[in-house]
Amino acid sequence: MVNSLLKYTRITWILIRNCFSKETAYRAPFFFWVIANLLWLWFAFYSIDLLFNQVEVIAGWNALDAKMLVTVYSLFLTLVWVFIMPNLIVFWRLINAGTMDFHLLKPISARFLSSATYFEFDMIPRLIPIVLVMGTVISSLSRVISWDEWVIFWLTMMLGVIIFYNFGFMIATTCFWFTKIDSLEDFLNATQAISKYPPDIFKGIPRVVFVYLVPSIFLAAFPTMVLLGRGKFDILTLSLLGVVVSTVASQKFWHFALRHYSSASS
Amino acid sequence: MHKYWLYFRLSLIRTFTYRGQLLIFTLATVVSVIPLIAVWLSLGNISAGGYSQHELITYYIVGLFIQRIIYSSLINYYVQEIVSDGSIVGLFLTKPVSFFWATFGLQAGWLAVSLVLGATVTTAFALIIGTGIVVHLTLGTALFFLSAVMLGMLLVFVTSLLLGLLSFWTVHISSFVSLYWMALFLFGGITLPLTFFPDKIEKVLSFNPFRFVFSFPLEILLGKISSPELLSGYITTLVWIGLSVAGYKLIWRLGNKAYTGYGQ
Repeated sequence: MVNSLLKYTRITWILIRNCFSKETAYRAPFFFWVIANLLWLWFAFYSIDLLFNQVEVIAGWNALDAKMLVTVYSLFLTLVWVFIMPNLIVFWRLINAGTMDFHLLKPISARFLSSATYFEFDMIPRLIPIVLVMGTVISSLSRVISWDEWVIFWLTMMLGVIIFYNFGFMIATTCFWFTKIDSLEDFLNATQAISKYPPDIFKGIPRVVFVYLVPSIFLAAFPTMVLLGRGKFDILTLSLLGVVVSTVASQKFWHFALRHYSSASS
Repeated sequence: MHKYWLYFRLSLIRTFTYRGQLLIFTLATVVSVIPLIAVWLSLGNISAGGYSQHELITYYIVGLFIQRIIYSSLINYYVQEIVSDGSIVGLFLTKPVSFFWATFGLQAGWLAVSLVLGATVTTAFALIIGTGIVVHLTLGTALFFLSAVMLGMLLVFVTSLLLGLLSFWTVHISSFVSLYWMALFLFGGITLPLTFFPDKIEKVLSFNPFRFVFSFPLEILLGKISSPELLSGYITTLVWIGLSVAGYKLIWRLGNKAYTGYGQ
């Protein structure tokens, strides 16, 4: 178990270094992406300002709460785009070109290799303005965030990333049948974007679908609610439950999909 | 003309071959507007930025249809792909076809399916939400709306073609494309109507090309602009299309001189 963990950690580190070398080899595109990502961050905050110039409260969330939500969402997005999305959006190519064969034949988990080959680093500079904005919002709050709330915040944040990975991987796995879905990025972006809105805007069946099935509440709302003092261990428990359910579901779906893999051109 | 018709048919066949692509693409567009509609539904009977609640919901539901057309008109990544792998040489440069019309034909198949599917999805979505669409539809409004949508589609096609042609100099165009998207979302009115901006900024934005892709047709449909504004809107759209076509011709000529077809 420990040996296996060490092996996977070593491989991940090698892959991260490889991606970093590749990305920084093209400095100009890397620089332009950093600028683009910073502008997208500005866009997210400016949109919230425009919206709250017109309304005072949305589903019980005021402008400050919403700004905190968008900040946490931006942090989530940064983590997801560094570690998860680069792999999910190219997953269909493995099936389309038949190169999944090479993943299946290696003495390593095919799921791991399909999920952790690519990493992107141009989102990392966004962390500086995100931390600055978060600091400003926190200083405007009428409460002090305790150290255990910070711990639970980071835990729920990480659990949210895992839940999104499981959800995204399940969607990506459908390409075993569809063979080509290069619009997957648009779909995953759209599902992520739901999480920058207060979950309470949804009622009834749409709430079940867009808050829990598309697990938007776990991504940004839960960690934000911890910082706003709207929950602690109850939120952590729900996030843990979300991780267990999504992991079991995505692993079962992965095995089911593998049974339907009929290689191509290899 | 016949040869471009063949490009269109080829595009139709390709579109129906990858049905999963079509399904995910449709779902992505629907999911992207759902939270915005949910926000306005949750706020009850309010008005914001000069729009009533029903008008805002109409804005996003009909906007769903326009968004599908916009996304289906984007050709930049295809152009980037064929320029970077050199296949543009065999596909277009050595054939007696106009690159502009051939790529338009290739995009038109996907676009035609998108138009039909977009109209169907938008209608179904409106019925599911159950909130009445507020449109005082006359034949004139419908014609003005549809012609503005078509002009917007052409504007997106030419500008995205221009972006794609930057691949003659650098194949790393994705960050520029990303900024183009951001401008569409913010200055085109996809995220929020342009009336949500402060007055001074709104005045400046009224001439930006992205407005004529998304917001302008919706302003016509919702009766938010007067006849002189309608006329000036059409003129401005045509000016932007003219400038984009001129830019395309220039970039195409310069790009062809600079290009060394990789692997050919």
